[in-house]
Amino acid sequence: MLNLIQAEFFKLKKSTAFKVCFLLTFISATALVVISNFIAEGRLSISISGNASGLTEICIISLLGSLMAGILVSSDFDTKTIHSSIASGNGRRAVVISKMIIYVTVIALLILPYVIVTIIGLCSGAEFNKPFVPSVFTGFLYDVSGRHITFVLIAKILVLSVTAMLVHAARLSLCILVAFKIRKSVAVLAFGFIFNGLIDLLLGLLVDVPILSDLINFTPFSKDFLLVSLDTSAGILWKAAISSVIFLILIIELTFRSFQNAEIK
Amino acid sequence: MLDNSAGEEIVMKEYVLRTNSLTKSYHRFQALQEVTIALEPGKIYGLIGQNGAGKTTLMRVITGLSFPTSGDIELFGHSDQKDLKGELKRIGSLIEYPSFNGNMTAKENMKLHRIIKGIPNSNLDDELLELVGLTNTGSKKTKDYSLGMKQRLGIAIALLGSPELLILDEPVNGLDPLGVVEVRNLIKKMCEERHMTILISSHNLPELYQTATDYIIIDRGRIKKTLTQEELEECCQRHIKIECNEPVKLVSVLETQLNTTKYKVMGDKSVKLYDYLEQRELVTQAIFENGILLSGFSVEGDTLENYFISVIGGGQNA
Repeated sequence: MLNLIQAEFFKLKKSTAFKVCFLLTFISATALVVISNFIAEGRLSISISGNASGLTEICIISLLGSLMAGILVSSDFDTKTIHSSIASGNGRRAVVISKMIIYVTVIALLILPYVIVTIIGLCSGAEFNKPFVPSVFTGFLYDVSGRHITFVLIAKILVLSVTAMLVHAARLSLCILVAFKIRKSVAVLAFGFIFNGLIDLLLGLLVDVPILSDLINFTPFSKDFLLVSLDTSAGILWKAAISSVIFLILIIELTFRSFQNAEIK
Repeated sequence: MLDNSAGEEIVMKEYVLRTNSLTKSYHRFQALQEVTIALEPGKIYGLIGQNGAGKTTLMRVITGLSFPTSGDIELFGHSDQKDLKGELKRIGSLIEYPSFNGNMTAKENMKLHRIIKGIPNSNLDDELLELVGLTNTGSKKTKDYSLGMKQRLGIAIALLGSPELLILDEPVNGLDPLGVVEVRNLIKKMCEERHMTILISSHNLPELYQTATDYIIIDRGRIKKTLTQEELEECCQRHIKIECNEPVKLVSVLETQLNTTKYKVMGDKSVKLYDYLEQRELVTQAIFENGILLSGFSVEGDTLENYFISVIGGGQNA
């Protein structure tokens, strides 16, 4: 399996699609931080917040994460790399696990620009506006704005960012299952983006159903996990991380079962 | 080698691949039906069949890309599912079209597949690219390659790790005449020098005839015939097939009156005469004069294509 993981990293290094996605997240993150600063300084009106909501990590990762899931899996079927992996004696479970590992890495790398730009923004001592759109990183900017930046604070932001990466990866991991089944990039992108948009809406409606809402709180789809902040307790962070990892393992198992006896054409 | 109770030596044949009653169904369509083949080391097997005959399905089942509905596969003496997966590492394959990433160069593709196969030797990339004539491709992306270049790259990838069994599905597709000759020579060289077993499918029968040592004819998912090069040559050699009530007397007539020994008595007592093909009346006259009653007299054996058509069911399939 280590061969397959190494091969996935090699492909990622050569992937133009990933490089473009990474650049887009960097531009989006930078724009989000700059807009937050401009609104706080009164150089931009708060009315722009509606347009800026598309720049948040929640929106961008939902879009580009779904796109990357489609590309990572479907392109391997198109280029017959998966055929080669299996015909070389690698097990189908190893193929699925290596794909999920690279996918979690990709999501983490796509969130990384938000982390970097946020830390740079905080270190600049600039003023930032109250979060105008749901976003973990605009929350950090506002909460820390004006405070003395310490190593502990940066470390805490990094821990929260890693948790956010895990939660996003787990929420989008369903795209990998769908990608192995459908094997069409566009279809996976559509599924991921629409599913992520609808799931929070749907779960919001179910919040009053007692047992169901408790169950949701043990999945990465819990609202507490998606928008972590500096006030989030360690218990919630642990719960978010553990439930995300368990969810990822569950999706790996489901993907393997659907792929186990599938024809590879 | 073993000894039986009578003290005779029994040669235990070693097989690279054996399939036993392999069947593959897609809903009501049977792509493979009771396919039983055995491949010996160091031979080049030509898999002949029309489009949709089951050639690619058989190759895909062997390489684990598809699962048989019933039947068994034995690779290098192992038939257990877990062992089979390990034995796949000893196989190289090029099925349908080559496996490569169009956004990478030939060398990068070689590296990718070498990593997948767990081969650390990076010198292998250049060696194999040189072997298939793909040196000096530099930074050219493989998506810009011609069909022939893609086929060559596919063959180079299949050769990674010196496989003991090489499975090639239509490898000369898209190659120019020179490329066809080069691939043919390469296949023969691999077989001779590395004692590699090669299963190669093609529609191009004359091309296959120049490459293979053994033939497997498949039609509508069934193995119609397996034969060696010698047997095929014999089948394709034009002859007069004579069936009569007295084969011994017939042979005597052929030798004494027609002065020929170019004949062969077959298991069903029919006689294949490789002489007098253009003077058949002399043969019938001699037979008639000696009071031999004929039950069959026909000219048989022809081109490779005609033989193939006769095996898969004659004019119906032509």
